[in-house]
Amino acid sequence: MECSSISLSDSVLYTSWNYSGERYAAACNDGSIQIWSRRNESGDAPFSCTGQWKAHNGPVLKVVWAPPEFGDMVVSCSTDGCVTLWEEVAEGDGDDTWRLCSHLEQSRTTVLDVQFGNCLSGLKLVTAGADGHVKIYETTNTLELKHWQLQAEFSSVPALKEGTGKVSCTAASISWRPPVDSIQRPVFVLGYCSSSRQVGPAKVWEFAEAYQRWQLLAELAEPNEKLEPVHHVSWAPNVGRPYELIAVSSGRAVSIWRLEFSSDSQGRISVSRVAHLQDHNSEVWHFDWDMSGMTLATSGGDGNVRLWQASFGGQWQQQGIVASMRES
Amino acid sequence: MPSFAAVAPNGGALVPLQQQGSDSSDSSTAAVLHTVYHRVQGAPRILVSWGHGNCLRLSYLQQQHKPENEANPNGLQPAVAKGNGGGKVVEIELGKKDENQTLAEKRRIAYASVQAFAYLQSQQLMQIEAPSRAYGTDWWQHVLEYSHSISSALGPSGAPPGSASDVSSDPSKARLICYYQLTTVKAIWDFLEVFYVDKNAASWLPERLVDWLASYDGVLSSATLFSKLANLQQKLLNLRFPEDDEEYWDGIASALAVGWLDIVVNLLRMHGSYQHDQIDNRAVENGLVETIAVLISKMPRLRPSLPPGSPGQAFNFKPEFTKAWERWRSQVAKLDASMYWGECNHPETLQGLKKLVKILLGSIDDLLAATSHWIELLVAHLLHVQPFSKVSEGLASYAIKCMESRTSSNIDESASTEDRLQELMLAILGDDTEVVIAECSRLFDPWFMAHMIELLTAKSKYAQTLLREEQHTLGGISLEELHRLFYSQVLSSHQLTWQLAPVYLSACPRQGLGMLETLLIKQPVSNSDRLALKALEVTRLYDLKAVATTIHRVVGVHHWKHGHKGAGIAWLQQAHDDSRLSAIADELLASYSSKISGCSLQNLEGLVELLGPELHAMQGLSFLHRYSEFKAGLQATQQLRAKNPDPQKLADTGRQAADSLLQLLKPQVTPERFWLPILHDSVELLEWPEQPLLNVSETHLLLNRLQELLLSKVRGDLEGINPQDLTRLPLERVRLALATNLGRAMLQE
Repeated sequence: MECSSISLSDSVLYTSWNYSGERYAAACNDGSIQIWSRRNESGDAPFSCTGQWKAHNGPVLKVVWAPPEFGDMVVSCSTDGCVTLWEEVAEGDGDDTWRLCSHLEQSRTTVLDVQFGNCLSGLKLVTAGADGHVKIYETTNTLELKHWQLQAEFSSVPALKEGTGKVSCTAASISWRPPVDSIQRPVFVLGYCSSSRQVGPAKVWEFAEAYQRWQLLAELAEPNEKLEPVHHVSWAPNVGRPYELIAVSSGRAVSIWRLEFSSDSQGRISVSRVAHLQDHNSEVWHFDWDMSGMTLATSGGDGNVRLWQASFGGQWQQQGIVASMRES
Repeated sequence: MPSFAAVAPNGGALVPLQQQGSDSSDSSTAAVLHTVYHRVQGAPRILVSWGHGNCLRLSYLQQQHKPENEANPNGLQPAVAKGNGGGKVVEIELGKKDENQTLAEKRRIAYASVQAFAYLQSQQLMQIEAPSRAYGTDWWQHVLEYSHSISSALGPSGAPPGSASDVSSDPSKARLICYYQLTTVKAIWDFLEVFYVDKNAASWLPERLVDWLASYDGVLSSATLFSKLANLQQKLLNLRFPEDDEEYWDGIASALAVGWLDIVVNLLRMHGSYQHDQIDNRAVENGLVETIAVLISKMPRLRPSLPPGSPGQAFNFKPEFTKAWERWRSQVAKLDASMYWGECNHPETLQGLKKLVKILLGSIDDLLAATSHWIELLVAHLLHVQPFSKVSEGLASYAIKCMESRTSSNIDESASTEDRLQELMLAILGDDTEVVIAECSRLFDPWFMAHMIELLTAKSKYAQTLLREEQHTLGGISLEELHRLFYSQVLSSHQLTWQLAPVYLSACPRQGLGMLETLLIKQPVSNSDRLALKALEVTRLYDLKAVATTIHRVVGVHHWKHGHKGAGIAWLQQAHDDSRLSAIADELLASYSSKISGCSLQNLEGLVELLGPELHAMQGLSFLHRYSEFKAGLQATQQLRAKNPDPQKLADTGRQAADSLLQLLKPQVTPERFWLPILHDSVELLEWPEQPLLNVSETHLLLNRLQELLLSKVRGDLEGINPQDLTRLPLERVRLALATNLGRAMLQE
């Protein structure tokens, strides 16, 4: 049932798989990035570290793979305030090497998360800074992603707009709405983890073509709800459901939100919480939806991974646990 | 449908992931499916990611201590305590598994059943498209055919020990275990077929049950007639006079009760009275045994046919059967009242034979004693007590009665899996479709669920509504689609089975195509062209053009970036990816401008050829060809000059290069962004030492181009040109060369 594939060092802070699950990137505390791949074509060889380089002057917080149409490319963000893109190319005699493709100078504030959105108008990058500012970069190039333009910059915290406040966040999580009918729409959900009350719940942002700006589509919170820091957000893949599902972990629970985009011209959406899962009884760090968007796997501070599915009656229920134990 | 949620496992879970038998009755605590051992200090931070299908990939990372102060000057966090452990990544395949069923066996069944499934789907399409052509065959007959092929894929049928078709006596232990597991699945499959598919079965249901029981009695529970007869077979090997043993008679009685007549006759023929070296007079005894054996082999059976060589007489027509049975029954009764019993000297034989006669006469007490499982009792009852009753109705209540009379005498049956099996069989008998679905999903894997739905919907209108109705709570899909989706996901988990998934996904009207797209996009196509071609074939079959384009693009970019430039261009052309191809054209041009060594030029020319005429028509990039001519011309002049040749020849080559240059700079040929590098290259021709190569008007054309460039710079619409190239120095160089040439040309004219 289990097969162990990679051993990681202590300094790894974050990891991610590429589109096909054949390559693996690890972000390290010492500012370096590691790439793990299988050496052979058929994909049954063990994973080995095929690339490692120093990417940042601070711990790398996230490393994320670009959509496969752009080659083998990762973007990383760090406490040094930089966002860098790296791509694997064949140099001269055919050896694959990772090279710096683009360096998006941010600021002195830590960049907490970064995610690609492969929109029709071009590839976009959303970055979330520790100061509550969101930046969206975009490029119209398709082959060499060297030049990026800052398309938009806005604050996800209303108080910051008036310049009246200052927040500092310790983590952020961005998740794009998965493509519908192969078309990626410029919509994403973003949540911040901060002790500050001003930061608010996870929010859904959309690029309004009519006004050419990003606007708030929905806030994932019920009225009068006590707001807690958001650790992770994940938008469920939708292979044909008439509504969307977003999982948000805040505090010690995971909520599953249901978004219904009505078809009228107003474009209003209705948001409702369909599940509030508290079994981890500790912070929920991370989760992921399966390919059909029917099963959610969550991991929490209790060392367990829990699997959730909606029942016939629409109730979200725990279906199983993958427990963990320290080897003695 | 509240009743379904009520009977479904765990209060309505759709597809339980837990192992069978391990599910707790308390739905609030889910079972631990697996435990991962790690060496991370403290609580690990676990990152979750789904791989293909049902593979869950978990990264166990060392928990990092958050910096106390965010304004840490260089942002570096204090290093954590260096443990020797570190994190690890594990891959776990979720889903219920039969530990006794190997992966290879699973794959064999998956491949064997996909054909039957696909064929049935195509039959269904044909019926929808042209209902008139399906004339003659009802839908359930198609399903029956399907059911037979799936059933045969599940392996051979069993037979009770000692019967003519019993093959299970010799295979090794390991095979037996696998055999056992499979036949539970097969037993239920065939049971479903009898009740849900085969319309003909209704007219001879008791006999269908006899056959079914003969095949699968062994899997029902640990204490059935199957094991009883198996023990007896072992014992008989060492017995000279079996008739002295009570077990011998018990075994015969049991086999007779459930209608396994060939075993009864075989066992009776082992009776000691048949032996030739008799000392005592056993003529009467032997006569009685033989009479019973003959009566049994004449027993009328209401069924189309009997297997060749097996005892009994088959009657297909009920009145005929009734007549024959009455006559036969009176013979049995006559024997029962015979005087010969008094002359039998062997008490065990006397008792044993009397018991057999009582069973034949339908004595309830003897039937109860002869059977152990309730379904055996049910079959015995149908066979000997109520041979004429129309049994299709009220079978379940009948079965419950049998069950009750069994549970009072048999308390040791408590294993949960067996209980589930009983529940399921009872539900099938009672046509309780909701419970059937719920129990099946608890007992069996997604393969079974995806395939058995066809059986349930074969003729039952109620099951059709239940399974095909779109459920709001499931996101608009039906239960039928749900189970197909889940099975497809299981298939997608493995690289040897993912290509079967499209067959099932294409039968999912709502979410099938969306899931198929996801499945294809997630294939590691950039690793192997073979896989990419396979995925593309699937896109062609299901008309997924957008996915095909994406795959072409992914493979193309991968090849281009990893040094297989030609292949990259070819794949991108199939994707009709104009923007990437023109970017490639730009890159090629840049390589032209930078290096003019022979070998690389040849390579590039090959690539330019590959970009092909369509691209030029499409992009207006015919200049790439002209540019390569121009570059080749320049190179030729350099080579000639180095060899110190005839000045006339040199001038001719120079003039040729200049002609190519002028071709390039004609209106509409070359995009503006390439003018400057071309003008740079032309300096050499402009400063031709022997004579001016370009005349006044030609030089004016070049000057105009330079002027336009400068105007663009002023207007600020220099698309694709690096403004640094337009700084003073390189421009001055071109301008000076042009001026010199202009002067010389004027003088010459």
